[in-house]
Amino acid sequence: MIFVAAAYLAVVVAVGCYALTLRARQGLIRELVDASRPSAADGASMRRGAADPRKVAP
Amino acid sequence: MRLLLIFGVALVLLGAAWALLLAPEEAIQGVPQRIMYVHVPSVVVAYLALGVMGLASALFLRRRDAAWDRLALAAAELAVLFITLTLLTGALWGQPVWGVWWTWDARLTTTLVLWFIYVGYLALRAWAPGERGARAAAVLGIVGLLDVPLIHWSVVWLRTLHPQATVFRPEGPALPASMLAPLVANTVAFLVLAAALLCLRIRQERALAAAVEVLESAG
Repeated sequence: MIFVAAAYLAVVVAVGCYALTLRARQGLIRELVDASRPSAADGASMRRGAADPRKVAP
Repeated sequence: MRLLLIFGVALVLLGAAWALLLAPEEAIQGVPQRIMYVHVPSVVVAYLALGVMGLASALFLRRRDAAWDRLALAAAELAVLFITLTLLTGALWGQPVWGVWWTWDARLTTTLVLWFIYVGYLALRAWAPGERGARAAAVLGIVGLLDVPLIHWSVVWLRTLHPQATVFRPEGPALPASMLAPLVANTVAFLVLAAALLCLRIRQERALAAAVEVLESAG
């Protein structure tokens, strides 16, 4: 019986670890997607000083 | 996608209940034979994932469309996961029945070779990103498939400790219906779970590629 239990445990651990890896990767990808959104990209270019409205003279 | 994953997990749990509580006990091997209900589905999923990987790799080499490459990568990851499970559950079945965890039997050895080939494939993908790495991995993925018929026919061509096929044979399955039905149910459950994981993985790769493209074009 212990071998059968170990076999099922192996399935749960292996698939579970893969699912957790996907979840962790999803978080990283979400951050990257957020960074690639137009507003974030504009923010990045503004931080580089390209089109910062605060730098335009009154 | 999430629903498919929940459905897959539910099917696997139902399949496990059928295999452990309702399926008859094999007369000679006893309880350890129930490992068959996870060992065989793992092999089936691994082979199908390899088939998808091979087809997607061939289409990627022909059309140079990154979508096929993403499918190949996702399928290869699943194949490695389920080949690992095949080897692990096989060892756990072998110990009580054969008296050894591992033996350099033709089928076991060729399966271990398959595992090394596709772990190598994933290592190549990790170390050589980009179009060139994807092309090299596609070639490796297709060449690696040559090991699959060797695994399948090894028990026929050579004298092995591993038994000959009892399900996938020209004469039809040798199992009684009371064991074949839970085996088919567990195989379907594993396939649904694997399909859900495959869809999730492809979606991630697609989102990643889109984000990288936007970031690169933004400079």
